[in-house]
Amino acid sequence: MPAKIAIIEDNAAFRKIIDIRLKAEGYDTVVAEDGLTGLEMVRNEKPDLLITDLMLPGIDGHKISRMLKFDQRYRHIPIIMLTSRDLEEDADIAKQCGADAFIVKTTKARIVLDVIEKLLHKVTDFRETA
Amino acid sequence: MRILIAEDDNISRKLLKTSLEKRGYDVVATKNGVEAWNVLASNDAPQLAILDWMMPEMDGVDVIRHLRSAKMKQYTYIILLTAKGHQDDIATGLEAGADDYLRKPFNAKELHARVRVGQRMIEIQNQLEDHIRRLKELDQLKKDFLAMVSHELRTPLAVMKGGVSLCLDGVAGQLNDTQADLLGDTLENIDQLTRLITDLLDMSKIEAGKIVLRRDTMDLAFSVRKALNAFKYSAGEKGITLKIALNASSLPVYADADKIDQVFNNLISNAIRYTPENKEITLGVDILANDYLCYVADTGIGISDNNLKKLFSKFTQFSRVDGPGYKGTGIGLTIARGLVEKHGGKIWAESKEGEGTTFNFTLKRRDRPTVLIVDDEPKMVDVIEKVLSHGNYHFLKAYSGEEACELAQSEMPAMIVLDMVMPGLDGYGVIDKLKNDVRTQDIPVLILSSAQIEPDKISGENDAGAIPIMTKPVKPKKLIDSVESLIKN
Repeated sequence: MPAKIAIIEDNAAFRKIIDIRLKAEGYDTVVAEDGLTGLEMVRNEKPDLLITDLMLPGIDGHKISRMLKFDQRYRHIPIIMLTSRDLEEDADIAKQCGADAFIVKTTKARIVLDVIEKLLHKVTDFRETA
Repeated sequence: MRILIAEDDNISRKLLKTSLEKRGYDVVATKNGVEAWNVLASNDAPQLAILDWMMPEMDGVDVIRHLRSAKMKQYTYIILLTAKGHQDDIATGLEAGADDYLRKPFNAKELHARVRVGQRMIEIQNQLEDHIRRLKELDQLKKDFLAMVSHELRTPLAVMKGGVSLCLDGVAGQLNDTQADLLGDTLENIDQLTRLITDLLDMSKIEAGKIVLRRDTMDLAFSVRKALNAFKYSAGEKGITLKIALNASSLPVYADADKIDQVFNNLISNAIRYTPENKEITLGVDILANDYLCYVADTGIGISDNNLKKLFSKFTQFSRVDGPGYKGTGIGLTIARGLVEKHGGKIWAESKEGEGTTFNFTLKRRDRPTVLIVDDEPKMVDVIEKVLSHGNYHFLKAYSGEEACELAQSEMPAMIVLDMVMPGLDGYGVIDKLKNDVRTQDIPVLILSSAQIEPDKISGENDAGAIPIMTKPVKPKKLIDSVESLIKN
């Protein structure tokens, strides 16, 4: 059975791109466009991995990560924060919130896919940039 | 304008008051030094004060000394009123911080002339402060703008890059050769724009002092080899040969590997851009007594002395070669300088027109974090060093506040153990100096003092990164743990 990946991204075009790319790689996907819906989606769908934007309407990516990682039922789900912000402090906060990787949005698709692959096989690799 | 006068003699005070009021000044009259000090320390103190020297309890010079040692928001121009006529006494008053003096008995003409001089000085002072404030606002605005813009630009870029990549990878159906070629060019230009924005963002981070180093023991030789591999292809396209000159197979250094890679990348891409076809570029590291000297030497047409000086300033671009080529933002070198200096190194270029240009930078030859120990008591410095010697550190020692600031700026230690009570520049002064320098503001400090600490006097104490305080004598284990956690953080 293919791995299921949840995507939370408010930019419709970028959401579509991740979705198409992941499907082309053979993954199952579920998508949400804001934090609250996204969190609900993860709780219902129990995906194998979550890719979330940082700045989102409602609950932001940091909060989503914290809420999932502090919950016994969902803490095993690897989280990739995919964002257009790249301040060191954003990455630091992401790490503190329990995210498993912090990737800048303009990073090559191949690198992102490698990180997904590694995380699905439980290898933590923090911070990959273009 | 409001003027404060302090004069214990009733007749003299009245005379001063009426004379000034006749000229339209608003006068606040006080009878002694204590009253005068209370007015000066208040929130809307007059900007000009005429103080009598000889007053009971707190005399005029006492008030001045008090005022000048307190950090007041505004500058008060002070005219000292004195019956003493000796040159030496006047010198004492001026040394204490008076701006001007007036001898008693004074005549009204001289009084008004001196007050007008003061008024002029205050006006200039106010104008200057106004300008500085406005410049600071503009600078902040520019930094915020740059950070915001960089972020807002990256989002649409990510969408473009993602979409074009999907097409190129055939995910959206097979492409014919022309389509693939056109999309390939598009992607290349998106990447170029992305680099440009990343450069701008890095620049704004460096200027705002927001670059945080993640230092660890790394291998400089590995960085050089990595850089060579990264640029082999683009250099090869231009027929340029990249060479390596290393004296050792491994060169351990305590630095941020990502940032050092970035410095090499910026220097090499710059060299490739300005080196004509079929020439060579050499990357190397020389081992000096205290430093590693890293260099990128090209065999291009060189830079004139005049341009060499401007090289590391922002947005400087010289047309060193004609014809097409990658046009950079011209800030790659500025970024390189910021990163090298943050490591406590220096960066410079040497060039001979017609023969080529060499970019050099130095890094401290240390493979361990550096701890700067500051105490005016040499024995105490030795004790601290001994306690910490079990950790894997390199030590620097300073025996005064002045020496500490100098070493902190030139060596960029990983942390500082600081005594507070020292003659000359004390611990509070050292912290104030470090926190006000973009380069040193992030160096963690551990206060180790036998005296009571006054938190209000510590700059930046209200910020998130409050400074940890330990009192002597300290338990060795506690000190070791604190130093370690401050360096790791």
